[in-house]
Amino acid sequence: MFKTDDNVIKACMFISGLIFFVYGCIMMFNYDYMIDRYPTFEDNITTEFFLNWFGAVNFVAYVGILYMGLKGLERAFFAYALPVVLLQLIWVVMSLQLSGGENYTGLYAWIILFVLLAIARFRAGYPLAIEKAGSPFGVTDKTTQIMGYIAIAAVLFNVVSYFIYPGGFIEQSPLLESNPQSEHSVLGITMINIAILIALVYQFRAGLSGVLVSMSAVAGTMFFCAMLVGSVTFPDGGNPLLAFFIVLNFIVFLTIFFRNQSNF
Amino acid sequence: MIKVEDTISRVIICFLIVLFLFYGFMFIDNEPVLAFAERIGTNPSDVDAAHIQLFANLGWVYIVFAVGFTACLLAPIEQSTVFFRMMLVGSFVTSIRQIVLFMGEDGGANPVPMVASILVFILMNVLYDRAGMRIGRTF
Repeated sequence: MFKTDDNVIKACMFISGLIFFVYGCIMMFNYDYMIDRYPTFEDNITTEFFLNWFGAVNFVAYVGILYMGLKGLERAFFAYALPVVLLQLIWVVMSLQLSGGENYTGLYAWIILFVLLAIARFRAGYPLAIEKAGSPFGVTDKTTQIMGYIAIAAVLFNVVSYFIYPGGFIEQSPLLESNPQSEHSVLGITMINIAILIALVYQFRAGLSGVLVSMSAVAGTMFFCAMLVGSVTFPDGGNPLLAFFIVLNFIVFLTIFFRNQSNF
Repeated sequence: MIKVEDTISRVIICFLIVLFLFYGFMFIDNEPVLAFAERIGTNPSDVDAAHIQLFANLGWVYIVFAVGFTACLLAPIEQSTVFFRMMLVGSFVTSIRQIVLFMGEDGGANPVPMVASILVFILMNVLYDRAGMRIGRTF
């Protein structure tokens, strides 16, 4: 498993995968459990929407660990996972400050997760310096490179647009209610976008990574299907810009995946 | 990574993954189930917790099918024979059942589930044929 003989790495990755999987499943499929445990959470579509989103992100991270369990550890995974967990940790601390510290389970789980991933990363012996690939994204295929640039531009647009106008996402989504929790959740999504941006820039420099490309393909497909379900469930409640980015991501990530999957 | 060599088979499998994920995600959650029930002509107030539970069970079966197709994509095509055969028979039975339901009294509110099940049956046939799995060709 993980193509390593180091049992500490195996244990760290297994427990990390378990944490991602449990949080992913609870947030995506049993959000009532989360709502019951956080008194300030309102039981409405807005809370469900953001819990589903965060759950999908956790589930995709679990898919990455599953992939590496079969194909071997990849440094690129940590270039995404460590920033995303660290940023989410900061976001959880900010949430606790806003709510007055209602439930510390998430904080402890995310600290443990960060420590486990950091131990696995450093025991694997990857250097800190990032070696530059011979070409952008480490490939000569122009279509892949263009898709990579589009992905970076799209994520950058989302990050910058949040800092210019934080309330825009909620305002453009008729289904979502504007309240302190939902506004804070948009910050959480922006932090995930920052981690995705780091992972894309890493791949731009060091070359495409099988685990990150596969995770992107899974994420793109999941969000695309969720968007289709949302569009038929709430025909008048959609956010056109969000739908555009989900479709764009689906096309971009699947194009990159299918054009390069034979190399992984 | 992908072991299926035929491009058309790949496209069909990927489409089926998306289709099964779409129906799976729709059936495991309460609001989409109510919206689905309304679209196929059922009064949403008639849908109770037990119905939602049964829909969720069906949704998970669909998601498992999507996972099965993903596994087929990543394995040599001949290893998927039994799964394809099961899906072919399953989609045939489902499409016949959907046609009969649609033709029946109060069954014609929305043809989309019937069309989807027929589409899956046709695509499974194409897939089965292109993979050379028809009895007489392989054994």
